[in-house]
Parts: sequence; structure tokens; C-alpha cells
Amino acid sequence: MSHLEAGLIHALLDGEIPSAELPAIQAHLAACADCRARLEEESRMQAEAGRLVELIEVPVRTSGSPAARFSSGAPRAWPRRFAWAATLVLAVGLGYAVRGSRSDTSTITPATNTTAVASPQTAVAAEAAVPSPPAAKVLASQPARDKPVQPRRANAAARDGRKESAPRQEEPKREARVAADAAAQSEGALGRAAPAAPAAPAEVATAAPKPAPLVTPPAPPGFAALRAGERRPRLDEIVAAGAPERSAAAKAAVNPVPIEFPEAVRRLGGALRLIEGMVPIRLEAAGDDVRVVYLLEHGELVLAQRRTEGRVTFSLTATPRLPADSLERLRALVRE
Amino acid sequence: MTGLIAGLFAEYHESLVRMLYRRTGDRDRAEEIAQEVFARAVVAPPRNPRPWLFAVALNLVREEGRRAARQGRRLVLYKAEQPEAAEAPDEAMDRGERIARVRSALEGLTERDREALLLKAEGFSYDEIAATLGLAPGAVGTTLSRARRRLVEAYRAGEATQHVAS
Repeated sequence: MSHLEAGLIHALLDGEIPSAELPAIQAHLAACADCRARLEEESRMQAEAGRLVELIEVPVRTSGSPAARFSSGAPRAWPRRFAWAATLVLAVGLGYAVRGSRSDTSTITPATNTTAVASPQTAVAAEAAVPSPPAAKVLASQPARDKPVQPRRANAAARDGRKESAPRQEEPKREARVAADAAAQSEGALGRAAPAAPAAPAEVATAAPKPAPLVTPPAPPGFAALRAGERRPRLDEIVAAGAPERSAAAKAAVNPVPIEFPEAVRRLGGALRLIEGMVPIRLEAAGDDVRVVYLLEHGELVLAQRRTEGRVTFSLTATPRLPADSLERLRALVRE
Repeated sequence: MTGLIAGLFAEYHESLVRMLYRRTGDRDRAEEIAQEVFARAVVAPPRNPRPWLFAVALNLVREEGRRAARQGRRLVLYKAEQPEAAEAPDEAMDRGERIARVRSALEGLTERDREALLLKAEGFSYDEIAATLGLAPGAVGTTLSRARRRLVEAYRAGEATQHVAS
């Protein structure tokens, strides 16, 4: 096999190479140091170009009445026009003083109310074997009001990477770093099973007397993988030799498999849930779960859902942990 | 029918406006074009919606560019990026500069390279990019590899100039 062309390398990095063609490419990479070096180089190009484009974000409208603007659009679509609102929800939930205009924060309230009406029948599975310590789960209809996590200095690892992917939230983000917690510090911990959380709110107890356990598989290692999106194979998967070792716990857990939107919908019987106003970075299947993964400032938000006996249950997990009320507000934005 | 368009709107509007904003640098224009695209979708519901919507949008941008060029107007009007109120002034400045450099680097690309990059940033697969831009599917990887490299190199060159100047 001759050297890999740049176009092929990018197709590889973008997850566009059919699996049948992978072995030949992997074999070549294993044998050719030049191509491995170029793969590394092109991978940096790919990542940096992506970051640069993402720097340009649609500016937030600070003047004028949001309601007036919404009225011209399709009725169901308005929360999507404010992808930033979800980020803002996080910021507010983490207990920052938002110094922006009042109208910004006020748009969150209707969104929350609307969801409550939109999905009253939603049953949410409680957790049994969730990753710990990072996972903070929110249960349906639970008016969770946990205290925001105490600000504390996150380590350097927590401030890696993301700076450019969501730079508009620079200020809250710096504080979020402070609030970011243990999960970011050790990915190895993600695969560990944890004792069941004691949370058992009354409403959930009546709706689902036997909380179905949802096993949340470990997040893929490394921020590069987090950033990459849908079907991108990690470098360590492409270059079989010298792949970083994964912890035994991580290997033992169910490995999530990337899937496409139609497949996700099919698995759930036609009712995939998404978080309004947020754009998932990938869809995965892990055992019976379909996982919709979103990128947070310092990790991921996983909306895991599964279909059992004709009913779809879901759970929302963030790593690193978010305050429960932030998660709950995000949960309120979950739409079918 | 209306439900179909409402569904398309809910699914693609935000992404479309973002792509258009990155392309034009003008949020109002981006939203107007997006509205126009969905209006056309109502008239002729697309079978392969995402490539269709984005292809129509990019065509509108190109047409507008040609019209503007004929009239001797400046092609793209950059509005000042609105820094977040919460951002510290120097950070906002820094961010604004970086965005301006990205924009200028994007402007230096060929139309096709730029469009491929912007579509990829919206999560398009190679097949979708090929369908939107009328490329051969096999050409998308090459297009993207060139576009990414040129973008990064132009951005870095802008960065170097900046440092020399300051």
C-alpha cells in the first residue's frame, strides 16, 4: 500500500472510512512511521480548524424583546434559537451572578414550564450502578434543590482544552473551573460502580416503584475524543500499536458504540429524546441504552434512554458533577 | 405538511443560522436567509432535507455576493462582534481579535473549501457535504484536508503578523 493521501487521512479522522477498509489502513500505519506522523499532524489540523470555526458563534441578542422575535418564528422552535440559554442555565445553576441583561435569564423560565407540560408522562429511571463520584443525577419531577457545589480550585486538567469551543461564556467558565470537580480529575473513576444513591423522591416512587438501573458506561478517554463528535475513531484506535492502556474497570463496562440518528430512533421505538437548545456531539448505544451525549464546559452530559415494555425511560448524568438544580433545569429541557 | 416544515425548522434552523452567520458575519442577514430557505421548503418540500436546506442557503449567499459585486458594494459586512457583558474587557478584545483573524482566514479560502468546512462544523457527513456542494463523495476528504490546512495556516500567519505589529 502506498502512502496515505491527506484526503484519506481526513476521512479516517472524520470516521468516514468503512470498517471493511480499516484493516489495510491500520496495517500500513503500523508499518509506516511517516504516515503515522502525518496522521498526528493532520489530526492537529483537523482539531484546530474545528476549534477556529467554532470560535465564531452567533452573537447573543442583547436588545429588543425576545418575545417579539419569537412571535415571527414557528411556535415550537423558539427555544432552539437560544442554544446559549442552556449554557446560561448551567451558569445560573452554578450560582454565578449573571451580570448580563435580565431578559436573558427570563427566557429560561418559560422554557422550563413548557417542558413540564410537554412531558408529564415521562418516567425516569433512578440509578443503581452509576459512575461515582462524578455523576449527579436528576430524577423526573423531583424538585431537587441541592446546594451548588462549593467553589474550589480545580486542577490543571480541568481547564484543559475547552477554552475555545465555548468562549462566549468565558467569565462564568472561569468560575465553572473553580466549581468543576473530581470527575475531571480522574477518568479512571468513571468505570467504577458506585453504591446506589439514596435519592428516592415521592413522585418517582409512585411512578416507578422499581427504579430500573441504568448503567452508564465510562466516558471515552481524553478531551480529544470528547471534542471529536460523532463517528470519529480515536487515534489510539487507528494506530493499534502504542494505544494508551485503559483501566480494567473501563474495559469491563459496556463499551458504547457510536450510532446514527435513525438507528437511535429505531432502538427507542421512534421516540428519541433530546435536550432542547443543545446540540449533541454524538449518539451511542451501550447495552440497552441509547446515549445522547452533549458537551459541557468540562466534560459531558449524557442523556441515557432505553425502551422497556413500550415505555421509554431516561436519565441525565453529567460528568463532572453539576449541582442538582442545574441538572434539573436541563432535564426540563428534554424533549421527545 | 406544515408539521413537516415545523419539524425541519426545529431540527435545522439553529444550525442553519449558525452556518450562515459564520459565512456572512451578519446575524440579521443570516436569519433572513434562513427564513427564505424555509419559505422555499414550504413550497417544495425537500426529500433529503439537510443537504437541500444548506445548499439553498449557500446558493442565496452566493447570489447575494454576486449581486453585491455587480453593484460594487462590499461583499460582506462585518459587524462588530458583541462581547459578552460578563467578559473582562481585555479578554473580549482578545476574543474579538481571534474571531476577526478566523474570519479573515476563512475569507482567504476558496468558496468550496470554506463551505465544506462550515458544513462539517454543523456535523455533516461526507455524503451530505457531497450532496450539498455537488461534489463527488470521494473528493470531500481532499477538500476538507486542504481547507483545514489553509485555514489553520492563514490563521497562524495572521497571528504572526499581529505579534510583529504589536
